[in-house]
Amino acid sequence: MYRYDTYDHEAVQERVAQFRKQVARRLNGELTEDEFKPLRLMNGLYLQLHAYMLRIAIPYGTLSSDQMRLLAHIARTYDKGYGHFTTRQNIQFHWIKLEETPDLLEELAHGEMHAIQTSGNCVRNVTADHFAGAAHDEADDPRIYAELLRQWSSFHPEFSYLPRKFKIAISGSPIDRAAISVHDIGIRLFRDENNQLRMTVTAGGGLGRTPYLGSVMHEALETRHLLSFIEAIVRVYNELGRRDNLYKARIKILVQSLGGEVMRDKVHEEWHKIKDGALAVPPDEIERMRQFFAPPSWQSCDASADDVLVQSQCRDNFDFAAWVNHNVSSHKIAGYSIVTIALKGRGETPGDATAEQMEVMANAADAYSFGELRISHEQNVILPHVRKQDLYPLWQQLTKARLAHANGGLLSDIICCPGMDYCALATARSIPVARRIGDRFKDLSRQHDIGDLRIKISGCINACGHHHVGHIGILGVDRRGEEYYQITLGGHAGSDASIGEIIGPAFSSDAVVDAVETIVNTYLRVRRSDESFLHTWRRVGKQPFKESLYATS
Amino acid sequence: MTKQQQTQETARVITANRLLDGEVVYKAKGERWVTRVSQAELLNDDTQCQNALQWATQQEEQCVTTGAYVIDVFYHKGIVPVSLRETIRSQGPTSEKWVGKQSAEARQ
Repeated sequence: MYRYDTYDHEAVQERVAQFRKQVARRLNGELTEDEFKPLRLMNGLYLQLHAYMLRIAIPYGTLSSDQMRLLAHIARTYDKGYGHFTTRQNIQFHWIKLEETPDLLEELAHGEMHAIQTSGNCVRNVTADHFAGAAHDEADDPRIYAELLRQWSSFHPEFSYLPRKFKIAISGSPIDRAAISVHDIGIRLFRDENNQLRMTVTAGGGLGRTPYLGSVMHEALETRHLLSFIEAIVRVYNELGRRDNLYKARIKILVQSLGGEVMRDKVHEEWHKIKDGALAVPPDEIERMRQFFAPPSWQSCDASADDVLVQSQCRDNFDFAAWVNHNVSSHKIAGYSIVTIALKGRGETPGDATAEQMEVMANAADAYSFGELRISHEQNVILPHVRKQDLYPLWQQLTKARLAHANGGLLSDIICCPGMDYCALATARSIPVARRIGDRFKDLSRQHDIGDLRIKISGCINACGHHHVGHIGILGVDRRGEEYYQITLGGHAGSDASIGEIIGPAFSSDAVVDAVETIVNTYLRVRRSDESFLHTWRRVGKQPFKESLYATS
Repeated sequence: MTKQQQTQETARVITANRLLDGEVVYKAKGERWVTRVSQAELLNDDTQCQNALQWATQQEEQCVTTGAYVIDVFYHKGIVPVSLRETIRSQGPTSEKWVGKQSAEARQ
């Protein structure tokens, strides 16, 4: 994985020293809160309901085992022993003390981590497919290009005060696991008919108050033009994006108001001025970056014998079989697997991990996955390179730490923002709804029968829980002081992305879990054989669901 | 607000976050901050609120607290915030009962 060079170390350390002075000036009164707030936000420090919250970037979702241990240490030393992995490959600590933050950031810097640009109207943490470097179907490792973008965007002087925040996601596979369509810029790597690496670039995707899928800005960009083309998009946005209305300031609004074609013309006009300048990426630089993401030393193994072993272990242990079925994915190297550790146990908060669990995962990464971990936008942790013969002992270790929930991709693998239990912006709680749904569908065999069904819950219209792209999306709203939940159906964040459709009037907190069960039962009634929820929805539309949900009213 | 709460007579309380650690605090009688809403000073009219907010603003200038504002409360076996958001602030997350002001550690 990428290691900081001298410049990275100096830049991050200087920022820590700078922030230490800013905190001191705030505490002695030289800075007012109005003056200090933008400075702390530039370092990922928010003031939430109960305390300060620090958002730490996990660039393109990649973590070393030592970095995971560092996060466990941060949880124990500076927080209350747990952290929350977010839908943008960050981790949030919710009980931070302002006076201790400089020390915390200094410890992070020593571990080659930081919280810079995890807030504010700048280019945020660049996210990527969490199976990067392991996926059997990828054209190239997207982290190479994500790291180029990270370096380009860090402290970018022109883009430090954009009209609004700006999020970029990149995938190297035809299967979109990074929700690229709903990012300000989405990048998908592919190989053309001549086996040349190219990129499809979209802009103007986003969720929140007005959800849109991105419009194509380039169908087949050469990789050497990555930085100049992205710079052209952001420059056009920086110049033309609205600054007079917070709710209309994202690039998606600009793209919609101009129209995709006009936006594309403007981007290309700008790009042609700069495409062969200093931002052109030489092949040497791409190759240099590739070295940081070189594959580990695969061990030779008898893949077919390993398959036989795993099949035998599955026959002997139903729980292990279920876990393999739902949490183990195919790897590009025969004899290896990708393991998803679902942070979605019954009664637990989606995306939360205790310090002890972080250490268990770090140790498991050292023992079974070359010391590498990934964080998914689905708020799970990935061990990207696990030998099949190690799956059973790994599962045993994870089971002891309550980390072997066999629900990857199933109904209880819920994406969920912190909601009003923590967030100052939230209008309703989301975590308790996720837990109640998990309780209602506690029978794992029932979930297996239901199959691929993604529920996503947001506690406000900002949509950190990605509810617009949930097969079942749930949005918490405030109605005269009472929590209500609006349901959307048919959203999807994958390659054939779609924005969910509001099914009808919102449900009270007491009724929302019943509503979810009604939707599931309706699906089971109308589906054809093994048809997934999404395919069923796309075939039958909203009518049967609406009739079931609102029949009595 | 529930129907039961709507029938209660409401008063107001000043709340803020402590600058050093972000802890939720409430203005108590005698111009001091407390961490329990049950110990907060009840403000029954606009003049009391304005005076209390003026003091809270001075506290911000002295770097004690930040973000002071007024919340509605009612009395039901103690002072209870009207809104769910403020109830959660006064107790801790409903999803993690072992942290925040509701935790055994905080109650000691």
